[in-house]
Amino acid sequence: MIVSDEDLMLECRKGDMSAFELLVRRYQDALVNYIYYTINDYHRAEDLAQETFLRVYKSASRYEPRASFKSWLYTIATNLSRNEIRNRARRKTYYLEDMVDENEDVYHSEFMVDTRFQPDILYEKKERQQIIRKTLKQLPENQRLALTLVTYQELSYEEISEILNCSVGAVKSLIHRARQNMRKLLIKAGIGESVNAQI
Amino acid sequence: MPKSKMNNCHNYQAQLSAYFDNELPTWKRHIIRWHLKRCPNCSDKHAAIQQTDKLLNYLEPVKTSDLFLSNVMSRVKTMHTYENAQRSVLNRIGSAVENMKSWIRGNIRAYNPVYMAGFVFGVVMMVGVTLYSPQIEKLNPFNQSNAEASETHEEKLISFEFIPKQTPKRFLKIR
Ligand SMILES: [Zn+2]
Repeated sequence: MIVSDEDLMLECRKGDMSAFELLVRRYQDALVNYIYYTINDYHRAEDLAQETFLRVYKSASRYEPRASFKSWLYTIATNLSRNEIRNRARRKTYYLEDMVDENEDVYHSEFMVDTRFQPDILYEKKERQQIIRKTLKQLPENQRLALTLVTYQELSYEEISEILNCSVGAVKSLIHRARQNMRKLLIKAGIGESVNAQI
Repeated sequence: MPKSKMNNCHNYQAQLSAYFDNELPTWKRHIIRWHLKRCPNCSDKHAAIQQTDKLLNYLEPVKTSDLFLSNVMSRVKTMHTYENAQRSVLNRIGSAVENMKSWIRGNIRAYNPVYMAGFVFGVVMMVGVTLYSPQIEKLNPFNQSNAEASETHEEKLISFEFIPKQTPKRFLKIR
């Protein structure tokens, strides 16, 4: 039987560390990926994901299972990502993210796929991924967050509306505009391919 | 294309992302599916959404480092130890009150008759003590009426103060 996140959190409130550990195991990959796609810096994404879990643990004593645990977790992660994006914009510092882009395959599961003897395919794939990641970064903050949540985390519009603190209608329009903009930017970058329509 | 049809298509196109994400009620999905079969313009836009999503899914998930979990757990344990050491008596009382509040809230929410009876008894007792409190005021030597009395007494003392009449030592002669 799978124990729900909310039940694990209630156990964690009683001081059960193993319940907390199980929650971390459940969400660590999804959370690191989510933050990575929004701030585009792998090492910082891991730091912020750790910070998210620490905040969850700190607030465990006050936790009441009114909203879903998942939405709450992503809300904390989203706020941390937002602060990071704004701090970077304010300081106009790019850290190591461009260097990370060059070396990022160290952390990618693409090494799991057996493309070692097909350098062209590997190169093309890597280049395409870099373009997509950089294009995603060009979207306005809320559009990027909404699109990342729906595409990579497979959250419902309602969950996204809780996380971004807006209405479901607003999420609908954010995602629609995000896809329109993404499409334009990808075509501009040369990988939009040949479907004639604009979204 | 006629203007009315364009407006109609515009309405459909605004729903296409939600349609793609399976976020529309069934009846709306049927209407849009029916329209897409007949309208090449909207159908193209739907294909564009599908293709953008396909491209976005080109990104492969990153692998979390092997030390991630152990790092989180060790940071949590350090935090836990530090907090325990730092927690003062006041904090303990505060958290006990917090716990009590959430406990009461939880039990009242559950409408447990035993807890409800206890809660009502507590409220009645508090109201009773407030309305029929013992007359402690009278025993208090520093209460308002005593203070007023002593003040009046002092005033009386001042009004009866006797100032002896002194005869002048010498007189000034005026010519
Ligand atoms: Zn149409």
